[in-house]
Amino acid sequence: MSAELQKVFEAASNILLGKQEVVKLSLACLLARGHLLIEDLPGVGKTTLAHTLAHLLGLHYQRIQFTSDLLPSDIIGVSIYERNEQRFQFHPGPVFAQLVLADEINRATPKAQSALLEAMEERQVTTDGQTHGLPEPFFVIATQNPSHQVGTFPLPESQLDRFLMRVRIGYPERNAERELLAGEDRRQVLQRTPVAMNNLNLADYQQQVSQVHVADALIDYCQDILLFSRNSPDYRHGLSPRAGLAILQGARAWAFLEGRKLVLPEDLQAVLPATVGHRLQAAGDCGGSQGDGMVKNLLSAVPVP
Amino acid sequence: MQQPFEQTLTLRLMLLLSLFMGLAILPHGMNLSLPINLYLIALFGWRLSSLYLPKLQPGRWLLLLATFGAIFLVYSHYQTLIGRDAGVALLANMLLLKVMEVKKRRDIYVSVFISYFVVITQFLFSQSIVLALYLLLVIICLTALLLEINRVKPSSRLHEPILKTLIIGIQALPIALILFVIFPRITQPLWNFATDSSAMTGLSDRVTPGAISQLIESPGVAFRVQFKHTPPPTAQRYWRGLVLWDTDGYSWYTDRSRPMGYDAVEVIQIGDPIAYEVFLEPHNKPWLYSLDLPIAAPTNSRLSRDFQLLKNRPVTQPLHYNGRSATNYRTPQLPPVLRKRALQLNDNVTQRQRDLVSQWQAASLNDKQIVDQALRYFNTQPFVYTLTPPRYIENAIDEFLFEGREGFCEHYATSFTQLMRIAAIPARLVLGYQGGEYNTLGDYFIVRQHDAHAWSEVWLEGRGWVRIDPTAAVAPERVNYPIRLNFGEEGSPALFNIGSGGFVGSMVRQIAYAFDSANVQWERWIIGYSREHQFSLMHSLGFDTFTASQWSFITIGMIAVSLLFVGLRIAWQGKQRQTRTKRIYDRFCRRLSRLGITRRPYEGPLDFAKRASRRRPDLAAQIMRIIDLYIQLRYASRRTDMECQLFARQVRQFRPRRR
Repeated sequence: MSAELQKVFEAASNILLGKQEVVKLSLACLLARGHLLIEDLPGVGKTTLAHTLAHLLGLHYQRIQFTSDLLPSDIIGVSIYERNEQRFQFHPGPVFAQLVLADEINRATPKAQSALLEAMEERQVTTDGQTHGLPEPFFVIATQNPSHQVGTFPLPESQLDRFLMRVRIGYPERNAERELLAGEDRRQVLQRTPVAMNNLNLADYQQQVSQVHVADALIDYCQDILLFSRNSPDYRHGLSPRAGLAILQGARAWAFLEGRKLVLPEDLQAVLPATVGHRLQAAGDCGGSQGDGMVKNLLSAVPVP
Repeated sequence: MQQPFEQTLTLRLMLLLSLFMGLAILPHGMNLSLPINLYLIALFGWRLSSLYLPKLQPGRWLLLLATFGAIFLVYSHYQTLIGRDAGVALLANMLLLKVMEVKKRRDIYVSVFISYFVVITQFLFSQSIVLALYLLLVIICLTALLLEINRVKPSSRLHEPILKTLIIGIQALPIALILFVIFPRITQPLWNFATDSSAMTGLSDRVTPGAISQLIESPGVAFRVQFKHTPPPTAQRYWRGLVLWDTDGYSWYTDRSRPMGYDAVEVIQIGDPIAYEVFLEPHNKPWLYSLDLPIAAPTNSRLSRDFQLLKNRPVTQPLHYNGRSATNYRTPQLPPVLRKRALQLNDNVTQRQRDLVSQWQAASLNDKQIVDQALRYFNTQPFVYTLTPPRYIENAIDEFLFEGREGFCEHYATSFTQLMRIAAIPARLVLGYQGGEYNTLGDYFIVRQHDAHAWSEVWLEGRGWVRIDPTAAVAPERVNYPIRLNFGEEGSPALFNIGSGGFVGSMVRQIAYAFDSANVQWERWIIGYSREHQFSLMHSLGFDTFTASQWSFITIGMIAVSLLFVGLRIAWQGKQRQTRTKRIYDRFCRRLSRLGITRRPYEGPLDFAKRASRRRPDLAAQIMRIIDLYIQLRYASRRTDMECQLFARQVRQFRPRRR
């Protein structure tokens, strides 16, 4: 890992105590040019994680709080008639930022959700017949509450697919939590922490990630996993080719963070829960309990070639 | 539809394609007839202009019409569509028409492969080194083009595809050489059915006045000779071709109904025989040339009783043979039949000639002195050696001897022979070449058509046949110096002679010699590598248990099998190395498993190595080294054979003990 990334990683771990794994996955996701979905209960630090990353990477940051009455124009922006100039003027919405935090995305209606998801996929926004490019880089970190909670509109599979990774933060360990409770406010710590990286370098790192070598043997491994998920009766649907691409891209970024120029099966295994967890459903399940447990099954069932 | 990762067919690419096709066809311009050449040029021009003016691009029907036009033209010209000339004409037309309709990448492949074929057909007409070098260039261009269109992005620099082509060519060279050496050869070239005999120059088997002086203007090479040891001096370099016994008063010939036979004639030679190699240019005649006097026949030819080297068939391919000759010799007794034949006279003998001969006879004691008298006569009388003698109409020999006295070697030789016969000395006419130009670079002599010569042989008691060159009595410089002099003031041959002196002159001559020398080597080793050579090579390598045809089948079989093997090997190579690395890794895992550390099927190499190292810290360094190599071999983009061997060795040496 380069010194800059190491600094980002350490500073973020200092804010989000005892969650190195999640921090590293989130970093890998951004380096792999993917969008990140953080799913967990309220109050475990979803927003803090997103905020921390944006701050440390020095990205321009906007937050959208999703509610059930949110409209697409609240996200994208709106054209307003200007009397003086006698024409419509587009006023960009909060989506025009390098890092967009979509908080509690599953509390909004599907209409509002899809407005954001379109932007994520196309990296551009079209309104009133005009296309506006989004800034580069463009990341979305979305958080969502577990779907069994009251007042949620769960994201459909097709939209979950747009997130490269989905991570869960989970409750902190006892020691970490104690430090959190005893120490000062994490937000103040964050404000004190200087920006750890020049955001111009980010594109460079992303370029390097895409050059990490994936050997034939590793592609074999990835294909075995995809094929297993398709043939096994345990899953409702097999993994899509896009899932395969996501796995390899995530594994590349992970290997890069590990300081390697080649991807090992271990890298793939490290990112597999995050990259396919939200794309898999157990066969008997009618929604909801998409889980890391199934990914563990997948991992132990497919031998490393 | 355009496939992904494909270059579009740019104008530049199309232009190069058309240009290279044109270059591939270009040398055929000399082989094809004018209307077909014009049609080809028109097609080529059409192609080039339609690149820049898409409006001119022909539609399907127009193209069909042009195709039928080409077929009709070829058929009306050759009355056939097959055979060498018609086939090549058709092929060249079809290639240009194909280039005309190139739209997709596949069309380019087809065009380039047809062009390769067109290139090969050039060798049906000529096999010279210059053509071969030119075609090599064309092939490099075509292959570079083929490489270029297979790239995802166009090369940034010109030398990239060319360098790659050269590398491919060099890689293919050993295979080509092996195939050249061992691939079965056909004894007679397949395509020699249309040899144009009129195109070959050389001596004919009938001498009429003026026949040789036509040749004398030709700088064409008759043959080249390399002596094994010291070459004889110029005055002794008489190259014997054929012997003429009979005359009808106007021309000299040998009556075919009275063959000479091939009985061995015993020659008493004085001194060592002279050995040499001759590289004969095809002259479409059955005789070979040798240094006077040949004493042994090369393989596949016979030595006749009058010392001519004869083959069964006319020489239509460059021929290489070894000769042995004696310059100082005595031939045995003359049989009465031959003596009679060597004395026969025609009715063109006049009283003047008889008087002349009787004068000599009166002043001589023996035949030898008569010969000397005759030579003295030619020397002292005002005879002139000239390339442009007056035409002698009625009785050529008589008019030449007593009136014109201007003549060329055939005049002197024929009249001398006739005078000797009048004097009852057996005599015959010999045709061949005299002298030759020494190539200092190649250490051989070039004998050209303008070295053609005729002389006499007389039979003297006690010595046998003796070569007498009456021309030498008149113009000794003809014999003693290479023929570079200008004969007479008027009507000199229109030869472009570079002055022998001066830096430029010698430079030009050196270059000419170097080129000629390269050509000889080409003819000798590449073109001249015949089935006999091949077979004798096999013989000397110890493969002499098979007949030639068996050997052909064996080589073809071997080539087929090895091609199959190479193909399979290329197809499986990548896979094989993977599985080999994996096999060795499995062996390593088994060895660890004996220690109770078993790799779980889903465990990656690094995790496994870490776990194993934790369990057996004493082995950690060794395990990590092996795993590092394994990762390098299995998951890295570049792997070397050395790493593979190192990995195999390390695993072989990994023999941990239980604790």
